[in-house]
This record gives sequence, C-alpha cells and structure tokens, in this order.
Amino acid sequence: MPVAASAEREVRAAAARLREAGAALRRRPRGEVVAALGALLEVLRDPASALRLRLAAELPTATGFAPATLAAGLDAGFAPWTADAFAQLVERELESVPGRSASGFPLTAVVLGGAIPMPSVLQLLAPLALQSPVLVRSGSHDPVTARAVASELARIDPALGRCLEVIAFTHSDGAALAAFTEADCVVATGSDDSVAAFAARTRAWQRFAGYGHRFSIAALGRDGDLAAACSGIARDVAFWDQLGCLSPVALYAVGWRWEERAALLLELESAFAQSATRWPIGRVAAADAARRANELATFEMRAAGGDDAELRRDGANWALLAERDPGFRGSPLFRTLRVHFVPDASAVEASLAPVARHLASAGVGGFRPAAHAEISRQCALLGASRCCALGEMQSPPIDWCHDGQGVLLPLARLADLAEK
Amino acid sequence: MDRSAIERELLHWMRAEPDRHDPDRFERLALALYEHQFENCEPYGRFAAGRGGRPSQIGTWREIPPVPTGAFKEMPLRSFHALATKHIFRTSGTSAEKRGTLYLDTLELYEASLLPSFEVGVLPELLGTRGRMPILVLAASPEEADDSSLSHMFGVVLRARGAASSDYFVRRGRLELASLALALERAIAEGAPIALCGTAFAFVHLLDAMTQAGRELALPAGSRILETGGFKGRARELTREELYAELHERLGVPPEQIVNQYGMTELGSQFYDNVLIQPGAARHKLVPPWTRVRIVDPETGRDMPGGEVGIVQIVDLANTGSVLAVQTADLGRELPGGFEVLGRSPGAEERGCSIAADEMLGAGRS
Repeated sequence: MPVAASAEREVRAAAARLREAGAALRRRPRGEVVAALGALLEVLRDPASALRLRLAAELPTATGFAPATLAAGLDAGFAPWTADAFAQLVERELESVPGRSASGFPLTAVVLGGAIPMPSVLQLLAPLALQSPVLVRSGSHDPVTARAVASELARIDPALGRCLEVIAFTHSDGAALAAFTEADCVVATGSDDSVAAFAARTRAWQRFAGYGHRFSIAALGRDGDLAAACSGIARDVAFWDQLGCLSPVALYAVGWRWEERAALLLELESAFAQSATRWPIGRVAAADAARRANELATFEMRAAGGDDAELRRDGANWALLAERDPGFRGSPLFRTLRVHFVPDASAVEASLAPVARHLASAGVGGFRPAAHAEISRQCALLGASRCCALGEMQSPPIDWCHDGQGVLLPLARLADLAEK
Repeated sequence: MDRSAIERELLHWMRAEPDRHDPDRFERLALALYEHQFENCEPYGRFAAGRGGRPSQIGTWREIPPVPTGAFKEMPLRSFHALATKHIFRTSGTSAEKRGTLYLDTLELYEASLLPSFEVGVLPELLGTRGRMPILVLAASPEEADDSSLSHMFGVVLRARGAASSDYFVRRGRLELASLALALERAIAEGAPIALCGTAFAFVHLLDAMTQAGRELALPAGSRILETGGFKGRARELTREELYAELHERLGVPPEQIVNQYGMTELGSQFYDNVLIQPGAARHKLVPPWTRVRIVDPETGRDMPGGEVGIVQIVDLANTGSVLAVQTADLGRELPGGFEVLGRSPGAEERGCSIAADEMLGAGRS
C-alpha cells in the first residue's frame, strides 16, 4: 500500500514563516491590527461582498448545507459581529485592567473542526487580535472558509495576511501533527476524544485551549406569543441543520401538562414545516442517517406502546419527539427536537444535571420576567455560557463567553506591570 | 404453525443441515415466526401494526417490520411470558447507561445457531469431524459474565470444540497477560495451531503490552484469530487494516487468517468473515442459511442497489423468543456471497460541534 508523503516539511516551513512574520506583527499598534480584523468582519457581514459570495458558492458543496439555509445561517451568525463589537471585545478582555498587559504567543496553531464557518472565523481572528501569527489546520468538512478568509485578509492588510497560513494534512500524518503541535499555543475544536488527543500532545509550557462538543436546550413557558416562540425554536433548530452546539436538541415545555401537548405540537409542527420550506435540510451522511433512523424507529416503538411518547415528523425533514418523561435523552440531530413536558423550572434543572457538563446555551421564552430570570440563572448555574431569546440562539454576540472562558483570554499571555 | 413446531424445524435445520440454503423453508418459517411474535410480543405487535405490518398484510420476509436495536434498551421484547424467562443477555455499558437486553426462555436454539456458524467461520477444517482445537479467549468466562452473550458463545464453543488447553484470559475485567503469554508460548512449543479469540479492544491491549515489552511471537502455522466488536472508549482506535497488520507483526498471524465476527447481543446468530472457508476469495461476511441480511436506505427502508452503502437489517430465525427482524445502526453493503459492515474511520471528524445523544449516553455489545 503506498504511503502518502508527510506534510511535516510543509508545516515546519509555514511555522518558520509565521514566526518571522509574527515579529513584525508584534511591533504594530494593536489598534491597527484590530481595525483590519474589524474590516474583515464587515466584509463577512455583507452578503454581497466577494468573500460572502465565494462562501455562498463553495460551502454548500463542501459542507453539505443547503444554499438557502447556509446563506441564512451566515446572515444570522455574522450580523452582530461588527467591527465596533470586535473592538469592544478586545478592549474589554485585553485592555480593561489598568497595568495589565495582554499579548499573544509567538505562534498559535489552530485545529479547526466541523463545517460551521462562524467558530472557524473567530478562531482565526482571536490569535491575530493578540498579535500572534496563526497556523491553521482546516477541517475536512470545511476546506473553504479558512482559505477564503485568509485571502481576504491578505487583500485588506497584506502584512497581516502573512500572519495567517492554512494547511491541510490527514489525521494519520503523525509527523505533521507533531510539528504542528509544537506551536507555543494550540487551539483545538472537535469531539471530546479528539480534543483530549491534541491536549495529550502538548507539554506543560504550551498553552492549550480545547473546545469540545456541546449541546443547547430551549425552555418555553406559557406566556406570550406561542406562534412566535415556536417560529424562533424552529429557526434555532433549522440553522446548520442542528449540528451546531447552539442549536437546541431538547425543548422543555415548562408548566405545560402532557395532556395539553396537542396545542403545542401543532404550533411547533407548523413552524417546523415553514422553516423546512424556507431553509431546507442539507445532505445527511449515511452514518448520521442510520443513527437517526434507529433513534426515530426506537421512539416510534415507544410511542406505539403507550401514552408517554408521541412522534410528529415529516420524513427526513424534521421530527418532534414529545416525551412525558422529563429525563434528558438528547437527539440524533438533523432537526430532531425532543420536547419534554415538565411542571416547573426545577424539573429542567433535574433533567439536565446528569449532562450539564456538555451544556452550551439555552434559549428561553414564554416566561414572565421573574421566571425568565430564574430559569436563565438555573441554566447558567448548570454550565450554560449563554442564555438568550428563542430565535436568537444562532446569533451570539462576538464577545459571547464561549464555554465560559471568554474569546481572547484563553489565548493570551497576561502580565501585570507595576508603575514603579 | 406454533412456536414449538417452528423451533423443532429450526433445530433440525441447524443441527442436521447447517449449510443448506433453502429459500422456501426460510420464507415459510419467517412468516410463521413473525405471526407468532406479532401476536405474543405486545410492543412489537403494536409497532408493526402501526407500520401496516399485520401478518395478513405481509407476503414475504422482506416486508417484516424490523425493530431498531435501540428498542432493546427501552422495553422487554419477549414473545413469551415474563415468568418463563430463563436467561438474560445485556449489551455492554455502565450502570448509568441503558443497556440493550435480550430475554430468552430457552438457550437451545441460541446455542444450536451459534455453533455451526462459528465452525464454518473459524474452524472449517474441523467440519464433519469431532476434532478439537486449543481456543484461547480474550474475554471473561460465562461463569464470570453470565449476562454477556459473547462469553456465553465462547462457553458453548469451548465445550463443543475446545481442546483441553482452551481457557479464558480476562478475569475481573482485566486481561491476564502473564498467563496468556504462558499459554501462547506453550502453543508455540507444541507447534499445533490455535484459535485466539476475543474482542478487538482486548487485542489492542495485548498488542500494546507486547509493544511495551518489545515482544514478538510467531504462533504455529494454521493458527487463526477471531476478533469482534469495536474499540470506542476502551482502547486506542485503529482501522481493521491497522489492527490486522499489528496482529501479523506481533503474533505472526497473517490477515488472511484473521476473522472478524459481526454479532450483537440482540441476535441469536452471528456473521463471520469467509477468509478461512474460502481462502483467496474477497473478504465478506457469510450469511447463515436461517438468516437474511438486507442493506436498506435509512430513510425509506428500501433495498439499496447492489454494492451501495445502507444500513444493515437482519432477519434471524434464531430469535424465536424475541423479534426476528432487527434494524441496526450499522452501515454495510452487499457483496457477492454476503455483505460487509463498514466501520467509522478512527479520527473521522464530525460535521458540527453539537454532541449527539449516543456520544453522551453510550452504546455497545457485551
């Protein structure tokens, strides 16, 4: 069997170029770098920009998302990521403590994972904002975004563009991986297993930031506009086909009795049907389809066996799995939402407690202000790093404290500088 | 045709004519068994009726509604009274996870089914003889793991075909490397072929220990390895090709003498690679005559065109006490003479960053 040539030499050469470019980067005023990155974000926010048009043209084939769904996801994701918001993020995380200096490492290596562009973009920009050059390994499911962003950055600011290089090599290329993870700071995104594998490769003197897979939930009370809330939930589920950690996998209908499920399911069905038309589901890999089919058929058996489960679905487009039992079961994804009918917020907390370490965010709606605040507080205590309105889950602000860590701080070297 | 008549005919088939492929007999027994299970396994009957699968609506075994393997974790799927339960097998997992459960009111058919398939797949030269072979098992004994279908299978095989030196080398959950090394060295000294059988992750632990100790062995010519199951969460993950290359390097057993078994707790029958019984032929899984394998589209349930990837559905007449038609979450494809199961590549990336239910909550066979 022929053995593929290792990309090790390519990785080492890129790292050497970046370290050299990094020296010039560190001499630049940070404001100038942040402004260039802000300009890049403004380009990403503009659906008519050449960069967005390229993403819209190339990502559907590369990632499997349907064009309309992808375009809507990019719109929703990039909308709040303005140049001003980015500058405020830098100021808040890096410059708000008097006498404290925050800088980046001589080289940051970033392992991108998955097919959703927004986290990839942020992971490219964060080290640069710290004036650390970035060596990026693009993921197999999105070979487009990192390269497109790098090209645009080189156009906006050629010197800054020289501080970002994108490389691809296989998981089995151990020599390339070893060279890649020699960077002073390593950032990895992926399953818990793959993040742990990257962490195991780094030494104590290196900085490691890992972002494992997570999930989100939605909580719906009985107050307010039910149709609007259901539309919001359907939108949160539809974007990125529920593959992003900000899409809810479970909806807790708080204060809804099981016997009242018909009204809620009807509204959800209508919202899911509309969103499936507007934002069609994309490609589903055979292994994912197999997992989903097994899960849905299992649920169908449970539903056939009694009055504790009810299935509503539209083929492969979406499925609602209504559960009398509040126990968390997760979802096989691809627009499969489990709906738990629970008496109060404490039942939500009890349901999530066993899996809370994976909780990313919560969408909350349909509650009076005090109840809204209480359920948000409970989700935060469980570990959610963001609670927001239903329908807004896919539009986190750029300074969202991702995994409760902040955006730039995990990659920063901090130093307290006494005046005397 | 009642269940006892079906079982009598099946037992005769498995014991007296285990290599006879008889499509008519299969069809007749499958439909009769389905009717019995539809009537006697309440959750299955309701599910099947909901899918338009009343026995009167079914004309061929292909139309029998399959039960997803996940359902074995959710509800007892028995076609007999609960009080008649004689044995229970469970899938692997921690106490916090739901485990798939197979309830049996008799082990006779279960054992009658597993033995001829094992002989064909792993001990073909003993077919038609009363011969025995040393069988060293990298799994717990059935006494130690009485709810493990795999251990039970090895127990039956060792009783029927194991030479006196056959033994188990997992005790209290640990691979007993020292006693295994002694047994392997003894086999090498005696020069007679052995069958080394176990879970894939146990083999990885063995290989890691041998690598650490810098040991390489050359098992006697004609020795074979049987490996089954996956690695996830229990050992480093590697492809089957990588596993076989390492087994060849460390134990001297070439890939063409290494057999993969595809089995699961929910099924009475198992599927073995053809490499020993059909040397030189392309590797594929053999299908025992009392089983059928369909490769179907996960969304529509329709048969995939030959050679295209779909999910594996199995109709197993050995499952008289539970349900005969089972839908797995495994991918496979039809091949001339059988089928193959496609594993997930180690290190394969996910498309998203959301965690799927099974990653959080676990899965497996024991």
